[in-house]
Amino acid sequence: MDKRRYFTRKILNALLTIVLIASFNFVLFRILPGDPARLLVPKGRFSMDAMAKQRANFHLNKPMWEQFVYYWKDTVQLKFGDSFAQKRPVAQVVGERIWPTVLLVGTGTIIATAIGLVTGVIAGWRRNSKFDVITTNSGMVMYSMPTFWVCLIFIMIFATWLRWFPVGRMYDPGVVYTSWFSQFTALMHHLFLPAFTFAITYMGEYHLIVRSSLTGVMREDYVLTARAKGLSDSNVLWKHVVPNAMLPTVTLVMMNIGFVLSGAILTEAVFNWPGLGLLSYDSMVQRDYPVMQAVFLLGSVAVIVANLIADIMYYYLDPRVKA
Amino acid sequence: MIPPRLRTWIFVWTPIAWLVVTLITYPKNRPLRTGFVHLLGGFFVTPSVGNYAAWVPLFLAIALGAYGIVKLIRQAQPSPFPWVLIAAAAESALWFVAASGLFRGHFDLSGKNTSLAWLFQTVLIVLIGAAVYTWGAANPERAELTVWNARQTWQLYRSNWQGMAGLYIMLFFAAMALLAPFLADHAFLDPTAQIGAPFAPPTLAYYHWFGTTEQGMSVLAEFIWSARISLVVGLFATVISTILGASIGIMAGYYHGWFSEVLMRLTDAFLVIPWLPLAMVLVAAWGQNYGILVLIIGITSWPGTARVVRADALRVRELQFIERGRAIGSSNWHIMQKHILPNVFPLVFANTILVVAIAILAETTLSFLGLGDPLNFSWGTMLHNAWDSGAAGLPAWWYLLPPGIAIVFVVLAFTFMGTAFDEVLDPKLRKREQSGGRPDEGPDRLLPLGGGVGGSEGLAEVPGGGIWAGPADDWDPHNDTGGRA
Amino acid sequence: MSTVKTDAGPAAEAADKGQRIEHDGILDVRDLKTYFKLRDGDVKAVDGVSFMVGQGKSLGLAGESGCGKTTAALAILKLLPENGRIVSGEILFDGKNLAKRTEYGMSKVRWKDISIIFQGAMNALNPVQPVGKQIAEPIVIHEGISENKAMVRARELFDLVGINPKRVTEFPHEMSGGMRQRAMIAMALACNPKLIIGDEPTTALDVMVQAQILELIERLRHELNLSFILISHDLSVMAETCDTGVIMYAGKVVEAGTTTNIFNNAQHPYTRQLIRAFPNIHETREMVSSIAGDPPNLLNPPPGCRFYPRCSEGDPSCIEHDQDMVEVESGHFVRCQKVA
Repeated sequence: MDKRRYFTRKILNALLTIVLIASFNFVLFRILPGDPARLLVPKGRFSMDAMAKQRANFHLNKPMWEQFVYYWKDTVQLKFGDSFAQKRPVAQVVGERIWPTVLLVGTGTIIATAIGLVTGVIAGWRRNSKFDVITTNSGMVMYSMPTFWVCLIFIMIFATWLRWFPVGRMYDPGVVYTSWFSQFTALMHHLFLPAFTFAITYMGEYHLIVRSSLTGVMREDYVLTARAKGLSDSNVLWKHVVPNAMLPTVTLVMMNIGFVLSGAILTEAVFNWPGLGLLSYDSMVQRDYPVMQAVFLLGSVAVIVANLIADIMYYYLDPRVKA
Repeated sequence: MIPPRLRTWIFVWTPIAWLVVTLITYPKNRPLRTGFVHLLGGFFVTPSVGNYAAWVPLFLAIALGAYGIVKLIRQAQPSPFPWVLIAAAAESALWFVAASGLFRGHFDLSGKNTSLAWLFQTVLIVLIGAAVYTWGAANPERAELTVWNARQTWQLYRSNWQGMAGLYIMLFFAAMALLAPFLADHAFLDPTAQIGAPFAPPTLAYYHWFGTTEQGMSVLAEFIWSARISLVVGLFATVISTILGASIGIMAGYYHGWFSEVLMRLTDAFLVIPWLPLAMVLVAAWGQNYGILVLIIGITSWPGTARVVRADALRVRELQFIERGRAIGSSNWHIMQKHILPNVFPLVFANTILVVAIAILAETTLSFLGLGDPLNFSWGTMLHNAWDSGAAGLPAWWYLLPPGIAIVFVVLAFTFMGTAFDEVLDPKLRKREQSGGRPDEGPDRLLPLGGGVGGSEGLAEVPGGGIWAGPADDWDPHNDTGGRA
Repeated sequence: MSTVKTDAGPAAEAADKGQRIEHDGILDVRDLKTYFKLRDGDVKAVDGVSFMVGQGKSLGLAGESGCGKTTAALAILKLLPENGRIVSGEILFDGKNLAKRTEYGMSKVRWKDISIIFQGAMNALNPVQPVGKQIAEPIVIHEGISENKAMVRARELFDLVGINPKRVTEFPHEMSGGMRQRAMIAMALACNPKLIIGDEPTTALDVMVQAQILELIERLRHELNLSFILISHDLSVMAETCDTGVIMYAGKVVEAGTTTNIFNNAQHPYTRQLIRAFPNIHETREMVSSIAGDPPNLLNPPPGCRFYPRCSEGDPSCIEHDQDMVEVESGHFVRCQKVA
């Protein structure tokens, strides 16, 4: 089908899913036990006045469908209320956490993709070679390791024992940086361990996927045709096999980027990295529901948008989609 | 006449099943030093063995009874098989009555009011073994076929070294979990049971092999007992996830039209939600115990299975014999149950094993974040405690390494097994041994994503497909010459 | 036009010295053995096969599935999978023994001198590349010209096989089955090869398109003086288009000769049954006969004649020793002691 129809369909799909998710968000936070007004008053600040105020704020006295309408009005305007823990608008709290997560996840994904895809291609092309056996089994092991455990072990080895890297955080607390360069260096120093650890799990996964995809493609007749044409090995691999094998990988990478939130929570929590993940964790511990609600919505939207981008990319990568 | 091999299997596996089931509820307060006789007694006359809430035997009674009655009505010739099932159901009902205190005035569905639970449990297992026996006697050809299929599968599986490695590792940890009462005294898990200074490194004394925790308790003891929680939560969550996912997947794949669309929308919507924040919210809403965790993990992982099953169901739906079934007027339910399900089953089975790996990782993650049951230990909880108390800064490597390594091994084991089963159960993925054809090595069709990648290549187009197609029609098991003369 | 040569000595020596080996026709396969290594042993897929293709002639290679015909074809171009290897024998093409050539040497021969058309062109074309580009690719590699010039030639080739040249930019999924097969033929012609191997080129197509494709191949063969090997399990196709034919069974050649001889005077029991299995439109209606049984397991082939278990005319002496090819009339060979 032609471009416009395809894209329109995908975008509409995405919007529909966002609507569904946002509604689900609404329902989810209303099923929490106890009087919602009570929950919306932070612990230790309880008073009837505070409860009444929250009731008014969140329209809790109105019937459910009216609440739903108000919810939508507020959400569209990105008004998520105020965070308990920080007494600031949620939008602000969330906003300043986006960049650190993007930095961490972005760097980690680049590392994971660069290494994992390449090793996957080589391992798949030379199946059962020494390289393949070593990398693929390592990949499986890496994929089986819980992210947070890898973080802990790396902290133990590289931060505590070897003291090569700081134990956590984005910058050292209380330090003022005199130049842009020194600040950048400090940032890189703090970024390395979290980003690398984050990359490790995904590296294994990408390696396995690419290798599997490659093996499937290698059995196709057109690869035999390419060999029959007298193309060199590397020519066959990079011009014929890889473009076909990469298709499912692209979708996967985009999806993983979309799942930024889940993936980052553990790494950020262990490394104390001030991003959205840590915010999720903290807000859960503190029962800071307005923040949780906003983060949840943001996370889902991120996935939907990432999927949409993947669909768009796929359109340009696989000519069969246009059929 | 029951096939002799099946009979051997029943006599071997029924006692093993009894042993495993009893060990699960073996009393935790019978340390090794109390002597062999006392330990042996722990299998029998104790209140803890078989001590399930009353609704468990009720559920079993209903399930067995319904199944028995259906078989009774539908049986072609009279045989003792349905009666044994009904007897088992009756025994289970009796157990329920005893446990719930139905006739003693204080009815409680989760009551555990009987000290004879161990007896009820033993009798039930024996009756189920007897049921399988009578089934084998009543359907000798089916039994022979099943035995043959199982042996074939096992032979194929055995030739896969990764699958075997995974199996051994899993058995090791399963044994550790089951034998926990004998390996480590449960008393050591009590918060007051300090064995040494906090964060003391390992020594050669048994309970000090893995050093101490931040509270001075034995890491080894916690480690051993954690195996139970980690494995069981993973398993039960997988059961829920598979049942949900496979049902929805089959229906979504089989039906045409809006119903299937709606199901797929639902699945895709769930796939989009980041599971960890959702799980965190649900735990906040519903509470922190392992039952809730099982439910939550089950609920958040079914979409992956549904996706994979749906793709396969779509493929099976297009096979010729399905059309024939519809043409002769079979109902949808009948087709789905008798045709689609058996053909989809190999894929579901392999996928299930992989989901176990994911479920175990999920439980570990949630426990690590502090969402597990604070009264119990799982490997994730151990790591949570370690992290919280700054073990990484010491570094208390004896505390951090064992739980993590155990998780890695267990997850790897299930991943290996799942991939091995995938190769075994789909004939197209196995190395072909024909002349002339290109002997191929299969790709890894299912990968530990909880969602699988790509569709399956397809089973042979025979009802039951692939290895389940069984031997040729004129195969006489007693006159097998091993090849045409 | 004999098809049997049993000595390999002088040819092997000559190959080592890089000299030109004399042989009949454009391709002379002598006693080729190709085995596949499996876990339990070697599958002897091609076990001593010899045939010859004359210059500008077409040879039909026929037999049931699994008899080794595709393996023999792949062996010629050394396109066997990882666990396949040429154990012994010679593949003499244009004065050189291809069986002993290195991979690098083969890459010069592939497509330039010998090209191949695979069965079912749906999968034989790269789905994410335009078809024209795939045709231009070997031209660029073997002749060193620019891609633009190669595309011009691709358009010419499309015209030659009867496809609108404007369609060179299309993708395989945008073409019909018949058109894809034509595109594959165009691609096979790209470097002006001397020999084309067609592995079941028409099997995946419906009968009307099949006829068109066969006609096209015939026309091109005569126009360009191509040599052609047609592999098929369909004897009627072979009868229609080939000059000489070779019938294979279980990795061995059982009958060889001109197609006229083979069809009018089939000698080997297998050939006769094979011909009988194709219903004749002119004769009275009769039940379609098939050949009972299955081909033997080539992991451990039985001694003597491999067709013996399914043969209606055999006797125990057939499996006592291996059978040799016997010339029953000029140029017509049969591997059966009953015929001698």
